[in-house]
This record gives sequence, C-alpha cells and structure tokens, in this order.
Amino acid sequence: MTNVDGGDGALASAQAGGSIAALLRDAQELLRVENYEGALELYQAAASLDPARVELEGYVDLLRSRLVKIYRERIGDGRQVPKLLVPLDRITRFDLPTEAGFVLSLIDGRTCFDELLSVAGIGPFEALRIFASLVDARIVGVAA
Amino acid sequence: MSIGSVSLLTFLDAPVVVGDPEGRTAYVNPAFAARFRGSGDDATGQPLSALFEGGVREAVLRAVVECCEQGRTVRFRLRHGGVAYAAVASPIVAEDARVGVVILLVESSAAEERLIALQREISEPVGELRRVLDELLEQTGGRRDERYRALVEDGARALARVQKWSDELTQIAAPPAAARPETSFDARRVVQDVAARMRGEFAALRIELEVLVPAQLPRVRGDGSRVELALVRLLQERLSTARETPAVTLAARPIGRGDARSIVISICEAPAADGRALEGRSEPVPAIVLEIVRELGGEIRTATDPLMGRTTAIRLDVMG
Repeated sequence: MTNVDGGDGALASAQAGGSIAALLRDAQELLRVENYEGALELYQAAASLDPARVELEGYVDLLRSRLVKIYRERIGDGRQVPKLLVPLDRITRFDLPTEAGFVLSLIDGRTCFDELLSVAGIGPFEALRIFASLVDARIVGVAA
Repeated sequence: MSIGSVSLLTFLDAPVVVGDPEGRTAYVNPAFAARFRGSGDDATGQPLSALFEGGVREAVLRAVVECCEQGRTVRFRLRHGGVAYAAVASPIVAEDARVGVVILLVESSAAEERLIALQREISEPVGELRRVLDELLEQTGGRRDERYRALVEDGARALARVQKWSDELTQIAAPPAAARPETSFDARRVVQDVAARMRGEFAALRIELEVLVPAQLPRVRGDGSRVELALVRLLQERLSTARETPAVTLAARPIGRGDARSIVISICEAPAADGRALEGRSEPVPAIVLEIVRELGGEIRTATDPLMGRTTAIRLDVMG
C-alpha cells in the first residue's frame, strides 16, 4: 500500500532540501565577501524551511555572535553615552522601524549604551543591530 | 511516616515497599511479603538493601538514591523468582522535609519484556551511529566537496528518524507516570547561571565568554539542573580544545514563528584569530550530554564551517 502522506512529505522534503542547498551555497558566497548580514538572512530562511535541522539554527547563532562583535565595534565603547544627532522633528523623515523608534526613545543623554542595552528589553542582538544602524546613519552619535 | 497513611496499599495486588529517609523499610504490603519475603518475617525497620539480593539489590539501591537525591520518579526493571517487574520509585516527603521513597512493582508480560529487550538492542547501535555521524559531519564541515557532506547529512537525518521511533518504542515499553507533574525551568536563568559559573575558567585562558540571551524566554519543559549540567560539560569540553579561539558565545533564543514551541541554546566558537579552521580540533559531544538532551526530548547537533566557526545547538521544547 502506498503511503500518500509519506510520499508527499518526502517530495516536499526533497524540494525543501534543494532550496536549502541553494540558500546555503548563496550564503557561503556572501560569507566569502564578509557579508554576514546577508548570510544570516539566508541561514534563517534555510532553518525555517527545515526545522528538523538543528545545526542550521546553530549556524544562525554563529552569525549572530559574529555580528554582535561587528556591531559593538561600530558603536565603540559601551560606556559612552549616546545622543541624538538629528532634531526630533526630522527623525520621521528616516522612516524608521518601530523597534528603532523605541530604542531612540530611550536615549536621554545620560544613560550609556551598555545600560540602554540591558533595559531595552528586546534582546542584545536586536538592540545592538539597531544602535549600530542608527550610528551608521548618523542619527545617533556619542556625547562629547 | 505512619502505616495508617499507606494502609490502602494493603489491598493492592502489586508489590509495594515504602522506605524512610534513612533507607530503612517503613512498610511492605502483603503482595510484596508473599512474593519477596517467603519466610513471612516482618521487614519493617530492616535496611531496604536487605529486602533484595544480587543485581536486583544494586538496581533498587541505585533507583532509591537517584529518587531521593533528585526528588524525581525513577523507573527501572527487575526480575525475581522468574518473574519480570516494571518498577517505579517515587519520592515521598516526610514531615521534616526529608525524602523517602515508595516503590511499586508491576508484573511485566513476556511481550513487554521482548519489546524492552528489542529497544535496548536498538538504542546502543543507534547511539554509536549518532556519535560517528556527528563526528563525520564535523570533520566534513570545511571540505570543499559538498557531495560527501550532503551524504553525511542525509545519513544523520535518517538516523534522527530511527532515533525518534526508537524513543517511541521506549515510551510504549515504559509509559510516563500519569501522576508525575510536568516540570519546567527558566532557560534564561540557567544560561546566565552557567555563564557565571564558567566565566572564571574562560578568563583564566583569556577566552572571552559572551552571553546572548533575550530579556525573556518561554519556560522550557524538563529539569533545569540537567540542562545546566549539560551546558557546563559542553563548555568544559570547549575549554579543553579551544585554546586558540578568541571567543565563545553562549546564546539562547526562541525559534519558530508566532508563539515559540521550542528554544535553541547554542555554544558558538569563532574561528581562530589567524583564520585557521576549527576542523579536527573537536571532540564528540560527551555521552552524558547526549543522554540529558534525549531524556528532555530535545535534539543536539554540532557543526563546523571554516568561515563561521563551530557550533553546538540544542533544541528544547517549551512548556505548554
């Protein structure tokens, strides 16, 4: 007797396997040019295609940990106090995502990066990524 | 502990023994006395070890120690007088908060025994295959020939399915105790406790230990102390092989869309500062860690990539 569900499942799995292989090949190309953010997106996509492959989640964490170091380098010393470089009324022009708006709202000119990371409540990776992008966009700088 | 509190056990056909926190026999029911105490003498007050002989004594004492020390139900099997029993040792807390034990023995059928023997026969080679494939996967991590790596990955996935059905067989052979309450733990706290415990050892070798954990994680099903033990063992293993690695990251996060059904805890090791790959410098996952992850119903994988580094990821189910 043919197990139809099993056959469909195997076919879907094979198709997903092919997509995953392509994603991982592309991710490796991005890694060679040190595009870690791009590679992270592809590994996340691969992990969501086949949740049974726990090692893909491990690779996602490897990339996140690599990016955390890069973000920290961009921000500089975590004991420095961030400040807004753009007047509040002009920030809306940047069309920032909600999380970035929330992080901006925490900047008070007295609290340092490390303290803000611990109170942001959105996870250190996400908070560092937002701070790094705000610094890169020159929306946030460091108080003199 | 009074006999009155266990008197209903008198009417059970299954043998029951109650041990006090000192390891002495507080009560045996008539079914136990008839099957295990042919002489009919009173077992009360005797050491629990005196009730059994040989290999059975060893199995019972091991179960009692585990049950009392860890406060959890322990299942084991024994054979006495040509009859096989499935035994359940459950902790009971006395008024002074010390822990005693009640052991229930249920006769097993020949079919059950055969099932258990088969499961035992299967689980050992499956575990061995798992270790071999995990190591092969790690060793092929950086090879340029993707074909071999894909073959090993296919083998690992097929083995994971065999493991799943083997575990299912275990469940059929020894179903979980219905009355056992489900335990859960705060994964964030466990990760932070492990990091605090290991930070000194990493600092001594000038290896940075970074922790990446969100402010909140869903509660995870199982015993947090077992996960803590597994993570400490993994980090110790990393310390013994990671001397040329600048940093190790201990990370935890929920996975899956919407309401997370699992979390992943990872130990990530960056490539050496001079760009050397991590291949060939790793040990297989310690057996105790594999055992803990399996007992929690989770999954563990180690993988290496020359451009990214080495990672060991553990997936665990969240509560509810």
